[in-house]
Amino acid sequence: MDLQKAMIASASGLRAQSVRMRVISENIANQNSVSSSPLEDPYRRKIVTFQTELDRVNGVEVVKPGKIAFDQKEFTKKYDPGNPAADEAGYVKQSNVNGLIEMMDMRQAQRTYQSNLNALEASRRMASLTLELLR
Amino acid sequence: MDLNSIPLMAALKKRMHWLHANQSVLSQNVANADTPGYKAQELEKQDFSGLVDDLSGSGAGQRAPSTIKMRASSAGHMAAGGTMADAPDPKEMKGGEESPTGNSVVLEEEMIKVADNQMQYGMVVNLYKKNMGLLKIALGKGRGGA
Repeated sequence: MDLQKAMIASASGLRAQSVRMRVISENIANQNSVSSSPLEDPYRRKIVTFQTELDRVNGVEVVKPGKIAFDQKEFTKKYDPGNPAADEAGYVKQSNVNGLIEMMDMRQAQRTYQSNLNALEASRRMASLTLELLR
Repeated sequence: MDLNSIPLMAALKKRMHWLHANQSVLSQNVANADTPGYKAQELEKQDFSGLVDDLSGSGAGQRAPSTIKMRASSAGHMAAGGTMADAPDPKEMKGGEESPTGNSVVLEEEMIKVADNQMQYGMVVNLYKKNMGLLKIALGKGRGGA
């Protein structure tokens, strides 16, 4: 059943993109998080990775969300001596999330999700056309 | 007599097979649209002249046309009856643009191909239906409705 394979591939794409959306949401939610003490690090941006995997049962190349990696970019510092998390010089480390990048990433995830949905819908319609032959 | 001995029906069936396989290749491409290093795949187009040769060569339906035979070089070799033989292996697409991550899927192109695939499938299904309608007329049941 090739159409079923097509739907499995599309479904894997949908799943991968929704994991990506989740990670992006986490990043945006924690954009302004700071640590509670000067020794700790604040929130570190997470990056989702994708990899192609052969689904051996169905013989389809599906996409799997791989390990969630951490962005190694340096934390930005903000001068705020009153903050309990400030170091001796009065700087507070802030998370390395960039709102703009997250928004762009989200748009891309949305676009790919939509495309997967379209492909799924097309497969579904083809299957129902085949079933119509019985009528 | 089975329907596959009618060359037109056999051709339609083959076409449907191909379109199914193509749909799953396209879905894989779309699913992997953001996977680093993934190369877009495509199926080889169906060869029309080969199809005609296959179908006209089989005469008036002595056997099911267009099954690919494995070469037997010894009498002991078994023949593999491949019904899926007409679904070719997907190949890497040539000459597409590539993103910095090494991914060569262009979503817009894939969506166009998906839509095209679907339209062609609709056409094939309709042709199949019409032919069944003709057969039904010949059988004396209804008039081309089905």
